[in-house]
Amino acid sequence: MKVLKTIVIAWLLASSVRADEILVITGINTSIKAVSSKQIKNIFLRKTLLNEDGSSWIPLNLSLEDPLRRAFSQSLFGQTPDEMETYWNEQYFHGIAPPYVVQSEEAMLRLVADSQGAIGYILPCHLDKRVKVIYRLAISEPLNKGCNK
Amino acid sequence: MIRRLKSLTLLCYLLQGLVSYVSAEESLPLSYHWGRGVSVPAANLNIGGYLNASYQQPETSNQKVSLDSVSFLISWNPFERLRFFSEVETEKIETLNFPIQAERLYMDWLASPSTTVRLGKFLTPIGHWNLIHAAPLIWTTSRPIVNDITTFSPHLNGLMLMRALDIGNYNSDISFYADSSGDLDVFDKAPGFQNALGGHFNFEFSENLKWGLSFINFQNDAINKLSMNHFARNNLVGVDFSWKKAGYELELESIYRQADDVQGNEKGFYLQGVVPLIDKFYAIGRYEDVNGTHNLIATHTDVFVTALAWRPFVPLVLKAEYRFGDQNQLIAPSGFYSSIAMFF
Repeated sequence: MKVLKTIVIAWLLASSVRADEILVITGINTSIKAVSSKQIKNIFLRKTLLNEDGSSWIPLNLSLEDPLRRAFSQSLFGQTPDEMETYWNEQYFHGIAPPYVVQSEEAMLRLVADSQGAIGYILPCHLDKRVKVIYRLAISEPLNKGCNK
Repeated sequence: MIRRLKSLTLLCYLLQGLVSYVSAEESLPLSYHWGRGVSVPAANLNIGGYLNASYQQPETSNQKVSLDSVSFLISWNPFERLRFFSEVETEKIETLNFPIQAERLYMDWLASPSTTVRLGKFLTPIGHWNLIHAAPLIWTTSRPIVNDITTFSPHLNGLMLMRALDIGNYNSDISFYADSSGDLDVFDKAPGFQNALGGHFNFEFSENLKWGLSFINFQNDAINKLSMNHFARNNLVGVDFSWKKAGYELELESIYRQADDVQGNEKGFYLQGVVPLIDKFYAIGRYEDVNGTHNLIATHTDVFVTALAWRPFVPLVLKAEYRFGDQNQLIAPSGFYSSIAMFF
């Protein structure tokens, strides 16, 4: 009984993590080791289109409703994804598309691992060997989100 | 033979660049989002646009209902450092004799992460309004006098160098341009520049707070000259400021234009505020002041615009406004103006 209780508690802890940071990731083959908060902002706002070695950044986003996307947007830009839509309207008029949207963190991991220049973000519990962390974004309010990909 | 080999090698390099770039995004599917157009990631192509229809009832002329414009926005990045952009516009569609013209048509060469070279037809970077003048982006049907097409041409044809500046934690950028519309824009019949030289500086304290400085020296083209000295040049300086937070907005643009002939001098500004109401309704108020010679008319005009806008969805806006003022009937007539605009 005690063993079962321990397993249930461990499972609950593992599946619902209170994350206090978001990891910004790229593929392991990119030469970028670390970037600043300002650089991350400009990449996801698509103000910076090229990285230092001259290849394109391909920023990726989760869907508008995803709690991780909302926490990322709020922490990085101080605005919700809905508030950012005004900015993207203006960029659309200038021919700049917003970051591609993927449906899950696993999809993000796969694209970041496979595509040169792709950059995304995940919860720490989803980090694996396919990608590397180039920035740790602290979030003001811990994020209650399951660790299911 | 050697030249042919060199050409072939160059072609191979270009194809290799194209293939390697495409392969990075080929796994992303084609998609359409309302207000963001059709995106074809495998070809780095996006096609979308916007339309605008209006009902206008100025006090000095007849009421008018019109589908003012349909514009297509086409962007294509065939290589990592190269992007093409075009805005193709049709106007006055209800006349069935509507012109189709390239509102913008340019190529951007990303020389480095912070430097871009733009070549072609693009928007004149004076103030904020002219750079975002698409109907779905602006809050009112009418345009402020200080940046209407008779103050300066909304387009340039030529070359522009843009550079992002690294000033601590702030974003800022500077651009310089040279225009020769008289020689290059032979298809555009609208009044514009004959030639121009200028620059623009933009500083962002944050995503919400920005200010800019503009300068341009220009000569108007032959269509605009009327009785003027064809070779007279204008100098125009501008200052702009904008603040946005949680639906509230405050925007200011001011200009001073100087010319040595009957085009005269002109100075003016507008100050516009936006307040969110309920259910995505917004109240807008704008005050404009213009003093000097505007479009060859000597005036000291004050204009007030009170407006209501409803944005039920991100790409869609419905607007209604009443404009009134003092000495404004010739250049910005009082009346009721309304419109509906949408990105597609």
